[in-house]
Amino acid sequence: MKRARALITLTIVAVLLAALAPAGAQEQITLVVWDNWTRDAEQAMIDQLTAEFEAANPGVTVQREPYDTSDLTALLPLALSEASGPDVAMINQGYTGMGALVQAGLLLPLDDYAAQYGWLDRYAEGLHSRNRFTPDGATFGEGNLYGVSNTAEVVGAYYWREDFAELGLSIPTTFEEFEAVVKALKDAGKTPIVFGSLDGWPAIHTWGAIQHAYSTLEEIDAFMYRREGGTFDTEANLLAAQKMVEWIQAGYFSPGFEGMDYDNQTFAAFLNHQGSMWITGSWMTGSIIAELGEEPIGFFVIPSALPDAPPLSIGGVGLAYGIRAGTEHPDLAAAYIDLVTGPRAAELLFEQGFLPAAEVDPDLLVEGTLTADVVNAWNLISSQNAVGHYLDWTMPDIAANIQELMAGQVTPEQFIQDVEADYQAGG
Amino acid sequence: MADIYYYQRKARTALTYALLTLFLLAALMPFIGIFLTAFKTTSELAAGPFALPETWRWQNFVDAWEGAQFGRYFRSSVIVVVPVVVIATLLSTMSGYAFGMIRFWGDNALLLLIVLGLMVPTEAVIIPLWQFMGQLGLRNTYWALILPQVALSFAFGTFWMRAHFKGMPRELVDAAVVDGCNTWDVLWRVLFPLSRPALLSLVVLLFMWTWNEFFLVLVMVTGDLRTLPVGLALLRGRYAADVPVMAAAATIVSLPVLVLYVFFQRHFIRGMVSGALKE
Amino acid sequence: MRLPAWNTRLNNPPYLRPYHAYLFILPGLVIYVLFVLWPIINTARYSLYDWTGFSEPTFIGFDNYRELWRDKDFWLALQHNAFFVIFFSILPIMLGLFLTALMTRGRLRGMAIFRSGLFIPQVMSSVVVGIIWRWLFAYDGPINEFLSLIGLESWVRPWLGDFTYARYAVGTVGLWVQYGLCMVLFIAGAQSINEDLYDAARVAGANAWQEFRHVTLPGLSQQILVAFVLTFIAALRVFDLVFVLTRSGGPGKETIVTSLLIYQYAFQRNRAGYGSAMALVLSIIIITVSALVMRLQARREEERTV
Repeated sequence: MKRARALITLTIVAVLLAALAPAGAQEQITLVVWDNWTRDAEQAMIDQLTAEFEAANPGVTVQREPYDTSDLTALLPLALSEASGPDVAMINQGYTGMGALVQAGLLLPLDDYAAQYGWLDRYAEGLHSRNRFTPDGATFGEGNLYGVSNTAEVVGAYYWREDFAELGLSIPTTFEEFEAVVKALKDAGKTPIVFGSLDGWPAIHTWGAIQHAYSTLEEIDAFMYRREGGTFDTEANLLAAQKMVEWIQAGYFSPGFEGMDYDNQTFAAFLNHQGSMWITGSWMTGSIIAELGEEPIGFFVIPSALPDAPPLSIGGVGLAYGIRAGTEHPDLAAAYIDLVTGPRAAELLFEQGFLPAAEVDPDLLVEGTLTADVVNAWNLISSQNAVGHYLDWTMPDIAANIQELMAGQVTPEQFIQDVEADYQAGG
Repeated sequence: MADIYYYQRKARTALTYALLTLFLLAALMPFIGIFLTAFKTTSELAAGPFALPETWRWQNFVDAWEGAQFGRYFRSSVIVVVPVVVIATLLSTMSGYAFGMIRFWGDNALLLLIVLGLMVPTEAVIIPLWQFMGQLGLRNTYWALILPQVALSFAFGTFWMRAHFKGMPRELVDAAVVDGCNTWDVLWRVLFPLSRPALLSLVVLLFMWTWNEFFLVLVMVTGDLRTLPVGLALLRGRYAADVPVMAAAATIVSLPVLVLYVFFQRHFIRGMVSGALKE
Repeated sequence: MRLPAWNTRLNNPPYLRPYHAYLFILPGLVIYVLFVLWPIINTARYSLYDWTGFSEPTFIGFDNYRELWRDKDFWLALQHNAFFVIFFSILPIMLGLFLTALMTRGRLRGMAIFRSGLFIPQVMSSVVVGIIWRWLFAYDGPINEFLSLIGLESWVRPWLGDFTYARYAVGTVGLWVQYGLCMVLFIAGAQSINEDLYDAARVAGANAWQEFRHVTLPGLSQQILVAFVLTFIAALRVFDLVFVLTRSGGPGKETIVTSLLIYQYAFQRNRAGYGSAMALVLSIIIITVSALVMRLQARREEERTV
């Protein structure tokens, strides 16, 4: 009996203390952040920024939870609908990512904060539109701003410098020159372009690179954002489809590319110099440097086939930082986003081998390195408003169509018609 | 006359052995190839998958274990498999005992309900499970892997243990009761120790199924919580392009089940064959 | 014979009371109901909603099923599952029967070794199996090397990326995984066939085929049905192998299967309701076929015992 009474007394005291504590102490706020920084070096970088944020905001603790891109996509919808969910989260663009979250009312529009902090000046408006949706989540590319990105991506050609030096090739400035480079490499007995299409999505980037060379940004924007007049049935797409078939017949790609996957075989084939170029995204820069260093590989964006046009390339901004609609600390969340997408973050990101969305101080670039090539390529396309799109944002099945085209299952004309029919049917 | 018959039979036996050996090699060669590759350097790959490595290179395993994080996946696998096997075995021993030894109202209907679990594909439950785990706040925790797999294993385990207990002589129970055991003691003190072969089969089968489970793990958890097979399937980046490291990782994934199989192959085969037949 | 009186209905001995049974079953049953039965019911419920998985669900009756009926991809996936039944079920059963016929005609030594070895693909993780076969099928992999070695250069191709052969390649892996199981099942069954039947057949002058046809095959009918159910389920559920071998069901949509579509719709394209409808249809097919074959098996059992 005595023990029971003692226990009860203790419990009451504990409850009272717990109830009193918050009122007495300085207000403690925990900001929960879900992000995409999973590797050790990335963690160090973002933890440093986070520590700076905590130092500037006494009483605030930031609780970071890192996830892979695919994990974020899978876990976020439910987490954002919970009261204990993350206050700040990195969000994937497109209809199935940000669009669905906006539609479910889970994200806070950021336009006021953007005006307050001047986020719109960080990078081109054309890039901000990738983080825009109408409030019903139905229209992509316009309406409210729901996220701000701090990294960028560009699809272009990595190349072995020694091959170009050996054959006296220079970086092409027109699509014709690019074709001449490819042909020269082939004539010299090399595999011009390392490529593997087993996974499907790499085909979107390789064919997309050619497609972008023939297209204008207006055409591609209209198609991607499903604007008035948006269509796949364009002259440019047909030319690109025909070109792809022509290149396959000419043997410009890795032999047996249909059976090569991206992460194991294609990557290994490029590292082992089983081909001179690799058309893929800037996200591989870090991995290539880790294996081969800065010098042997260079990078350029594929020039346009249209006269006097900038080198329109697939690219965009990385996952965007957004704020949960139900958060109790929206101002604090915005302040955090301001820091991790700002100039200080750009500097640290660059040091880690990332491509920051905001412009990098040119003094930091060392000519002749892969990092410098990639940053320059990005600056080139973002300054000239020549950043194109990933086709699968609108057409999740398009990789299968491109594989059919490449295997000769359909003619280029049929390919255009198939995709267009899917497009008209809603994707 | 007799001689012709003799040689004919001899020839036929030889042919049989040759064919069987061919199929045996077809079953084993891929695994042998991958185990050998796990000890090679990248430059040795050109010599073909069945060439012996020049030196046995353990670095590949270190790279897989630490660099590619298979140490963490291994930990997850153990954390998930051990409770699933232990809990499911205990629970199904109890229910198997009830179904096999006691008659009660509704026993057939109840059994049928549980047998349904043997036929239900994971696809049929995965979407609501995913929602349910979210509501319980267990999504992306080990519980999201343990609880559903206990439930699915319970279906098979109940069936398996019921068949086993049905086949046990009642004299054992009678004798135990004379000695003053109650129902609970009869199970744990008398029958359980005598059920070692059946239990062992159940344990190795549940171990294998849980260790190899893919779909559930792929959907339910992320990052370090993933178990070995999913970790292997989703390996990306520099180690994914390194064939010997991939081979070492594949070896790490398959070795525990393989070792168990070498020691308890009768139980594996018996479990899968007679378990299937009794359904 | 071994059934004493207490094993008949509700005639338990005094120390085994029915309520004990409920207590023994309860803990496992609770988990089973929560994490298997309740989700099945919910799959059926979700399938009637238009639902991303996290937004407000909208009740739409059978619209998901109507859409499914017109969904070309779904039919294609089902066709591929049916195609895999040939490779996962029918061919392994035939191969297993062939090997069993070889092994049971006359006593052979070392059977245990063959049996254990042939069974190994069954116990290995399908991800490991998939990764091994991806290497075997690679353009510069052992299979193509072997083909060019024996002068069949024209057969060399990127198997898993080839529109005509990708399905056969995935099917081959299935065959390789499943025949060991079938064989082991059949050998176990063949051992229980009465030796006298074989002797009688031989006395009657039966050749190998006749012996197989009239003694071994009827004696194995039970095992064949079981092998069919197990491998049929594997063929309809195949996911891991495709996920590892051809990733997204390519090339084009040549290796897309139902489970892959369920995964894509429910967890990547925010269509949990539609994915549930697909899952339910797949489950109903699996359960119906399994139940039919089981009944067939039960009937045969009765015929035999009568």
